[in-house]
Amino acid sequence: MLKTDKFYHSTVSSCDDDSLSLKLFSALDRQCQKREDICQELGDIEHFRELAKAIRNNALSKLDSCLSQFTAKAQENGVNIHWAQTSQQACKITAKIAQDNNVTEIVKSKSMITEEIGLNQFLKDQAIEVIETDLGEFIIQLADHKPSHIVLPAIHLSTDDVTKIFQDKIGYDGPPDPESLTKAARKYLRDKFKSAKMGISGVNFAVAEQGLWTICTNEGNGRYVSNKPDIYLGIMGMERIVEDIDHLSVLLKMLGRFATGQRITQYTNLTHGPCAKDGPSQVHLIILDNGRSDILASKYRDILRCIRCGACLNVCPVFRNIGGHIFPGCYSGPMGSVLLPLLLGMEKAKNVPKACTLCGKCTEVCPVKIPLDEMILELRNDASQAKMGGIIEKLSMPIGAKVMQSPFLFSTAQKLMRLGLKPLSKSGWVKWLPSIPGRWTKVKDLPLPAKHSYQSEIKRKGSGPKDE
Amino acid sequence: MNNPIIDKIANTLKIKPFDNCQNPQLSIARGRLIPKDLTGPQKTELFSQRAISSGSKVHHLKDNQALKEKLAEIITADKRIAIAGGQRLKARLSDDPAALLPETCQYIPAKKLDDDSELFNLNIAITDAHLAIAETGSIVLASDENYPRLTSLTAQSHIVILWPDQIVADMLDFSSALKEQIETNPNHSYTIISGPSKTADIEMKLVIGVHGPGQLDIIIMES
Repeated sequence: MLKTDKFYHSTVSSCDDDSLSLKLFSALDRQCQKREDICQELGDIEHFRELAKAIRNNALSKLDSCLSQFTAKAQENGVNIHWAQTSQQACKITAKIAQDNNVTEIVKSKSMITEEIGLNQFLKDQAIEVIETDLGEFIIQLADHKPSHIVLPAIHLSTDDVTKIFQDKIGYDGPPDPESLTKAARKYLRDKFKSAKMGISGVNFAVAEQGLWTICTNEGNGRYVSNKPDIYLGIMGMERIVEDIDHLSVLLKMLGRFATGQRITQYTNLTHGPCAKDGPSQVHLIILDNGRSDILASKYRDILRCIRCGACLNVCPVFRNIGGHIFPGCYSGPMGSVLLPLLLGMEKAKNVPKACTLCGKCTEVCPVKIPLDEMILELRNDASQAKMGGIIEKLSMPIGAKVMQSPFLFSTAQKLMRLGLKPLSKSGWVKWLPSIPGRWTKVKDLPLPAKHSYQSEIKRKGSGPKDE
Repeated sequence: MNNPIIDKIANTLKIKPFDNCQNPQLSIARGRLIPKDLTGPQKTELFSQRAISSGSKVHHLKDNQALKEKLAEIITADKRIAIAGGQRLKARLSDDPAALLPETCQYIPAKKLDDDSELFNLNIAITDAHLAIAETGSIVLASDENYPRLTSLTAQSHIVILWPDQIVADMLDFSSALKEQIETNPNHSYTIISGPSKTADIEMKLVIGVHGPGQLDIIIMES
């Protein structure tokens, strides 16, 4: 029997869901248009991409000293630094900070790293409630969904879906329009901002030289969680650092433009430790490894440059059809296809790099020039070297390779293909095939191969074949 | 201090260093979008354009009398108002900003704002700015014990009073200004505000005023 996994089956069912791909297409097209429009201001975009790449590589090339410098500065400013090697450790540190301070309710701004480590569930099991405060994250938390896009987490839901969720979960009785729904969420979450004793956010960038870090939001929830409660905890991946505050300026220019087509997000917070009366009295920061140090040692270290803008998701023809939900982790699209096998292990995500047409659009738009398509191809190679393919793949690939290397076998195979398909065809088209080849005819008709191949026609006539 | 994560990274980088790593500081000027030598009026003009394009309202005023009139126009009756950075505003305006407020509004003094029910019940927050950035049309607030930045988040509407000499051209000018300030006074956090609070999380439809203010009025005092 053909051995496939959940990811494979889900790609098929997601492709069948026309309403999902329609939603994704229109939303992501808009995101791309906004990015292209605002990026014109950059003039020579290549220059900026090269500079941003150099800034990220510079920090990664001396990551040990950047982190040492950063943590020393931050500690000087009164920040409690915690190191976590695994998700589990990061979750435990968070729970301990909450429990030591008798916190049972936490407000959190949107953060992919907390999704990565499964923080909400962990804290829930410890009877600590986490309230998502980014509107999109709030909606999917109520619905118990995963984010479907790293920047636009609720992009898979319609206004009617959100209305229904709000009716069921927070007793909403207003009209089904985004404006009224947003007002309702504002009202609900304001009470939480008032009462919560602890706030959590991710970290967009940390700056080594000045010992500060940034949170970027459009809604203002990042300001709330880092400014209002007595205790504020930031959680950062250890690679999210730059050496100097000038470097931060350049990356902020890139992040806003590439993520949402803005010059900069509406609110950018530069957190610099506790501040009596105008900020939290206790500031913590967890620096997480969770496999990143292994990536740094691998041939895939370039992926650590990623600034999580989501531009690669927006242009990806596969992502536009399948969305982010079916990926076996919180990251999705091209960057997720590289990160997930590295973070989760190839065994758990071996089919993810296969969901790619290798069109290379992701690499073209990446603000820090990560060669995503090359990495995806290389990961497929790794999976095949590790003999992870199914039995069919194992049998068919060596045969395919043999056939394609021999002109005689190749032309014979072409002839056999026509012979085999002829009885199943009608006026030059095959509409049905059994078993595995049937996956093709399920979605589109297959043209019957021509009687004479292009090559043989050229040989016979000395020029290309004429239309018949 | 022994840290296994840093040790591991150091070890990796020793065995497998990054090749051809160029120092970004050498080409950092490539990241500049707005020339540093713009004249004052050019900076103000660009700042205004960009602030308006990201949803702020910009007012150019000549003197305190004009300010008083503008405040009376923006602030309608019975509004609850807080002023942060009042001392600095007072020095710069040579006048108590609270005295410029219309008589019909309710002025909430800073000491009352420790009470959440007052803080979260503000209609309008007036603040000064620490800096402003022309490239992005942003204003920057710095943390201060006597200056709760939170009023500019909890209020329904935020009014900033700004002077043209506070506007820098590019994000890179902002970071170099910050670099100097952090060296002399490291205990500040900063907030860059580039327009009203907004979201497009439901079907990409733009909604203004999610958690923060739905309106940002920037008053530029061009005396």
